[in-house]
Amino acid sequence: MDLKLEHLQDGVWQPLPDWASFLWSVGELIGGWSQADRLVVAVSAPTRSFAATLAAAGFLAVRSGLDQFREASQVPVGKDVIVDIEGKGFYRARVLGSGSGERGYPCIKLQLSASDKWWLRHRPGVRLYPSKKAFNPERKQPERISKVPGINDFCRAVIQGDADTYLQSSRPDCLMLGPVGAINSELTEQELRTTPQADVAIKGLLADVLRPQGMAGVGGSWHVRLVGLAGRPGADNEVPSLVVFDGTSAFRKWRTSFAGSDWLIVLDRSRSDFADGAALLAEEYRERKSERSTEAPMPPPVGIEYLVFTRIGRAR
Amino acid sequence: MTLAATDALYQACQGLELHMHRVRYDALEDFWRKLRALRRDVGVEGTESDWRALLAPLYRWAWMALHAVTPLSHPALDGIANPESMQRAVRGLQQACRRDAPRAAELVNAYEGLRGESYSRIARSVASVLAQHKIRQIVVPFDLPDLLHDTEIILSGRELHGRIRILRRRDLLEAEIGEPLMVLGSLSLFPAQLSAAPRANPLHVVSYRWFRESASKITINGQGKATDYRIIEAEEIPEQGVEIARVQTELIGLERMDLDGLLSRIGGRVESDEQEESTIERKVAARLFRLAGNAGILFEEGFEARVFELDGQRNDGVELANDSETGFRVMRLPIEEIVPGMFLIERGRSSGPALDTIIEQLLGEAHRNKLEQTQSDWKSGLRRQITLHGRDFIAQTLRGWGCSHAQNPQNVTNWASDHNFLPSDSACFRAIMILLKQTDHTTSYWENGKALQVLSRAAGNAITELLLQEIVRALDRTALERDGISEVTLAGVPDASITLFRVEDCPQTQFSVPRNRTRAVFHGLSRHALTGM
Repeated sequence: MDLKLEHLQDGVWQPLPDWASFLWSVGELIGGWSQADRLVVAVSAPTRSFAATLAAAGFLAVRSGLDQFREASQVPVGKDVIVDIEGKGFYRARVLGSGSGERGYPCIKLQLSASDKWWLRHRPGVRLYPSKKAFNPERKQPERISKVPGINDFCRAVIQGDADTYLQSSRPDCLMLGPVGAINSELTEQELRTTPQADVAIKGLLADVLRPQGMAGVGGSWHVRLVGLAGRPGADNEVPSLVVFDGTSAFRKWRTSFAGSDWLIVLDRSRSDFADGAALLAEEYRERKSERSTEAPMPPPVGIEYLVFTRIGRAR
Repeated sequence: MTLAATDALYQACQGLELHMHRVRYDALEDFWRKLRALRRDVGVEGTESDWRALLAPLYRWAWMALHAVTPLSHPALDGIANPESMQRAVRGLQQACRRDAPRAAELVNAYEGLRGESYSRIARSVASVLAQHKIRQIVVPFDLPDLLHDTEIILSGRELHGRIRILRRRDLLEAEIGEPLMVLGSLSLFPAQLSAAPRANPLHVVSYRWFRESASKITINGQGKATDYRIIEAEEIPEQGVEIARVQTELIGLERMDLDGLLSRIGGRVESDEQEESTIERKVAARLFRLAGNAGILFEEGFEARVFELDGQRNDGVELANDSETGFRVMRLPIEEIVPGMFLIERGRSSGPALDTIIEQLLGEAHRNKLEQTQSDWKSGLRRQITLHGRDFIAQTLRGWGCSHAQNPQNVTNWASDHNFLPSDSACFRAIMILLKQTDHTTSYWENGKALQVLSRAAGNAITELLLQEIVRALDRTALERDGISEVTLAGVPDASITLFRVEDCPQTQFSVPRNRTRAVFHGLSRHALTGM
């Protein structure tokens, strides 16, 4: 987790605890997953509080960039774009082609000047925007342009893709199944802060990043759908990129659905149904294609147990 | 809960260490090796079954700890093993291995070391929490002499606030009123009144101030036996928790009386497929529908059923089949919307030959035979064991290996039968594999059985779909109107049939019944029996 987030504790801004950073990183791991096989990640924690929401925020932070890059890489050859390479600035470019790189990551071939042609692979910090002005292919040097980010808020700081695009679009990136009331209060009552520069502090809520459908105060666009245990998860043809099962009950109820999505399962060890959840998970684990325990984003902190594996294919 | 409060919870758990795996795996592996070597090299007096019965608790604990499928399902030391039975097993081991006493002693020492090392870690945590929170009473699920001894030693070096009372589960009612009580271990090991409280948390100090015990109450169950129960009220349990506990307790006995009483009066018969205990015990709220031909069926509340209408006036519900020529339509409706005059569509449960036909079409005969041969290997082994040692003994042995569903010996017979694919609980299957000495094939046999199960379901779904098409295509409307019942069959697929029953009555009475009794048509239900409720 490269992003430095803080939370208010006893009136003082403190860095996120290890367990919270880990959960965010777990979300980032899923967000960066781009292969045909489904990724299943399970964590067990002493309490379910914030486990699902932090992981979902980490997921959206990364997946937003990946999705936008994938969409941009499918634009017709000859389209002019602005490419933002973190640390190197903004450049105008023309799309020469696209493809898939190692492990399915989207790649895009860009022309930056008469002689500079790059294969650009998606990675954190790389963003693409449509360019209103035409690219000049005769230029001898790449055209560096100054671009002032439009929205300098918490979402902008957290989201790795273009925040403008993210804030203007709505899509079911993530479906969270579980105790909606508790999830809502985690999203709206806990203020977080990031300080991209020494003298700049940006505060915000997890709701600014997750943007649940129908939640007041986060604007018209949405990226997450919250469904309680008595609810219906939505249309059959809607395949969210990630389904978060927040607790054993949700996992038990809907584990036979969503075979087209990656999964995050949060099990609360303080619940008496924890053992049931672990047993259900074991059933899923037996169907695994491969184990990916070596790719934990960081060693799980004390108090969290962590399991990652893949399932073959995706049902659409 | 804020992030800071959540963090405090994580910190508290870190101090307790109760969530961590308490078994040191290198020591456990060493113990396991010694156990196996002793069996192989030295042998013990007595028969194979004596040996297994003697070591069942040890085997079960060590095997489960070593073979837990996922990190999340690793058992805790005190979570799966009753230390008293473990101690008995160790003592029995020493007696049985008199021929090589030093090696037996070495093994016992390895076991004691493992336990001691594990418990002293917990004891440190427990002592720390007791001192920090000024708690003077603690309740534990089992006799844990080592743990308690260690705790007392650690506490003796500290300045305390009075003598610590250590209560066992059965002594829970002796907890001092008004004093905080620390609960150690999973709440599932304690009475429901404790675990029903929302947010009661096995990892943290749960502080209840015991209030009083209410009067005892007697309920008569369906077999005419008295069921005695008591309600414990605690001041600090939220109202909802008390209510849940009370409701759960009052349901004991009543629900069984409702259904069994009804069925015994009417002489009805309830068909059940899988007799596994966990399924039987899961109670659900259900509604009873009286059908044409003195038949009845229970549907779980909130579920949906397949329905056919002769007049076809409704156009809502989920459409399952239709025919443009006849205008007939089969739909799925919530059971709350079913009214007398509609026709419920239910399939019989025995359609083995039909399934076989479709599975062969799906898979090809050769592949299917291969799968079934593999399945037959372990089933015939289990049948042989039952013949040799008796069903009850095998059930007892399987229980020793962690198979909770073997509480009902009938399950063992079911698992050996070709009509049942696999035990529903994988722990039971693992236990069977240990019994048959086939642990190397556990995964492949399980996956094979699962494959057959999936195929069977797919075939069942395919048959149902064909039958529904047959209903809308070629149903004899006149006969259905006249008789209220009609059976539709499928040409070319033997034993595939589906029956339409006219709904005669659907009272609003709600029953609490085991889930496996729902969705099964039973016969012999009279109008008088229903209105007599």
